Amino acid sequence: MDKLKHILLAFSLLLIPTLIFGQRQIIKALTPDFINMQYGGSIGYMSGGIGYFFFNHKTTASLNYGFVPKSKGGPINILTTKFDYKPFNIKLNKDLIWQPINPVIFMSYTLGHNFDKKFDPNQYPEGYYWWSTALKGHLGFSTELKILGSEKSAIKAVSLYAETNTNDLYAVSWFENRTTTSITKIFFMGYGVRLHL
Amino acid sequence: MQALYVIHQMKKLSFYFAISFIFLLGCNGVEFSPNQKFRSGTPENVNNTEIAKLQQKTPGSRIRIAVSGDTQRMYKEAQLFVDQINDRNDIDFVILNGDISDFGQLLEFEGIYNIYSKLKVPFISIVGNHDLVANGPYVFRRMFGEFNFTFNYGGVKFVCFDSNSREYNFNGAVPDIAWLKANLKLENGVSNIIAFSHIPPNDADFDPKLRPVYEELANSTPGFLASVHAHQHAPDKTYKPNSNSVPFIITNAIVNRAYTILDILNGQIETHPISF
Repeated sequence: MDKLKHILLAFSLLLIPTLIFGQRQIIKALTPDFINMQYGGSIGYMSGGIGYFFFNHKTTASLNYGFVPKSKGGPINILTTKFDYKPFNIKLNKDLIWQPINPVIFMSYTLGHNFDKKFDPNQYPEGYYWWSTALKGHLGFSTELKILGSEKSAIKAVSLYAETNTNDLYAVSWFENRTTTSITKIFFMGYGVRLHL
Repeated sequence: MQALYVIHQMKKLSFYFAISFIFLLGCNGVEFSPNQKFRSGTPENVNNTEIAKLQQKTPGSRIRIAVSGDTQRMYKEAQLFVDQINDRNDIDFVILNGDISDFGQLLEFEGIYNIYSKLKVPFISIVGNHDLVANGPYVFRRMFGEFNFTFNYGGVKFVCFDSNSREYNFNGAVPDIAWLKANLKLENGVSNIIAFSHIPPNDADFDPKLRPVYEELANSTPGFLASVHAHQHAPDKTYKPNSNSVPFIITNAIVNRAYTILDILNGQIETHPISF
């Protein structure tokens, strides 16, 4: 225990200069590049989150929390990690950029006692149910319109987007019914706003 | 110059494609969660509606029921079944004996409902183990109704119950023996009883402590004709715990393109498996 105290003390001393001199950089690095709000899109009636740009603004990663109220088929709480790739930027005019088609992948985790990463091995024999009720992989596409503001202002740009997605279990069901069911039947919409900081 | 023009045109085309693609997919509307318990337009109280439709019919001396089960998102097979039932005019009603869905998701319940609701005869749905996964219990209860319920037709009482014991981790409350004791009773105008539940009593997913209790209850109930189950996705079989027992019938599955015709005539029961 004493040994651990010493290690912690040494570690804290090392941290002090980093905190003093690097604080601004750290805060800057941690400040999200954008915040977004979304309606639907299979991750909540409403969801919101923060995100970051990677690789020259072509890739974004975001963390979202979504909620479905009782009156809309809930209560359901969902956490989502989302990755967008934006291959095309079309400048419509000096303030307007259209990103016409952007592949999106996301993982959603539904919270609550009806949902689990895997089925309880004490209740079910091995392999009884093979899927996860809580964790879902989603695949989709979005189209996004980016309205540029001033680089100096707090909100540098606003994006409006429409996104369509499906998930792993829907895809499995579609595949098994592919001769009679159109793939369009398993895609659902969401609409969102992104504020670029 | 020519090459640049072609590239420009291809880009333009792909963007038109992108936009039309997204709007095409948008036809299904907004989804809040694959686990949502309902959405706008989700049907409610289907069992009550279907039972009310059944009560409008005039039963003949022979009652003929098409017993189906285990649709589990096999929409093509479900459609073939519905087409086949609609082609014959001798069925009084259809039973959907559990595992309507596979993952307990709204989309699957609605998918099967949309197919079964095209039946020309009423259909009555019973809860299966797959329907109790994730938010499935909420979806089933709102869309179809209670897990334990009864209805009468042509002098026969049909007792439908939840026997998916494993989903409750064998807590001793499922099947609900007290409810069964109260409902496995003849009443005015009823001379026979048939029970329906998804999990057969001799299955590992039926509470082993309650199996003998239920089998004894069925055998001691006056007018009890048969206990009819699904779940095993295997050709029809009947078992009797002892030689003078009532029959415990396990029917095949829609996923195997099979259903069972159940005839009741003069207090006698007969079953015929049918493949399609």
